[in-house]
Amino acid sequence: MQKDVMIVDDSPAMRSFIRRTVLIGGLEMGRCLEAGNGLEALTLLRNDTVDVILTDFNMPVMDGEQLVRNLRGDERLSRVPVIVISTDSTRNRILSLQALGVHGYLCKPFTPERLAQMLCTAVPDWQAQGIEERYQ
Amino acid sequence: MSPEISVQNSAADACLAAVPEVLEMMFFESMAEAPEIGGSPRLELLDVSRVDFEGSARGYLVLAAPSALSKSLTEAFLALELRQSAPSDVEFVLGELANMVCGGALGRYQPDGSFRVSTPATRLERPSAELTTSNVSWIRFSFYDGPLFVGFQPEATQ
Repeated sequence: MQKDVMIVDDSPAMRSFIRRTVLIGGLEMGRCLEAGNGLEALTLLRNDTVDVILTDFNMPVMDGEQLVRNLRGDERLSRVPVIVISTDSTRNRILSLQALGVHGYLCKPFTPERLAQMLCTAVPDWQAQGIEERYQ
Repeated sequence: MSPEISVQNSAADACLAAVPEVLEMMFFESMAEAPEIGGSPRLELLDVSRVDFEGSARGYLVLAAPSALSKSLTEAFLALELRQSAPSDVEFVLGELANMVCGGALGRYQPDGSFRVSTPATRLERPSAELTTSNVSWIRFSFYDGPLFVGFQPEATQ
């Protein structure tokens, strides 16, 4: 089953890497919306929605924490699962974002399997295909 | 052991653990030899990226690599064909590498800390003076396309 994904990161290289990693992890993606910061993400989601949002924490204009706060305050978008992907692996940061209601916090570096596992937990009817299934 | 030596050792340990993890998981690169502490790379010949941090500790992480290694890491990270990386790709990816290594090292150095990390500054081959300081304690990580030199310098703890 395909799911629509939004990737929010100020680095186009990292957005490309994450998009590829979702596919390597065996998950079928429908649309993949991309934004360079939280404000761009909210603008894209004004008349749209996705099944899950993967966002960086440190970004110019609007960071990941502000994005999550805005999403949680929006009746239409408040239930969209959010996974934060960040280089910051300190406990305080992880706990503060979990308190805001993010569905997962993935520290870089990460494997495709770990990302797929987190996405399948956040979006329960999304199942990763095994390598055999993908190449049948 | 003096507090200063203890800080230096834990910074080196954090760096020694963070670099192979990032390179293996995100760049699919394994080390060719065990890392070595020390050395003084000729920075004028290398690509250099630096991130500064502040908060529970302040300081910087700087890394330097020959262009052959920078390009091969860029091609691995972006899934490009061999020798298809543009200089802007290399700048992006080297900066991202510095960012990830810094995050991994800080998380080990002070797991209960709180940090703000700057946007990486990267210069290819002719690094400017603000990226390179003379008192860096380098660690050399050897890969098949050349050495990666990393200096992780937490300067003061608040």
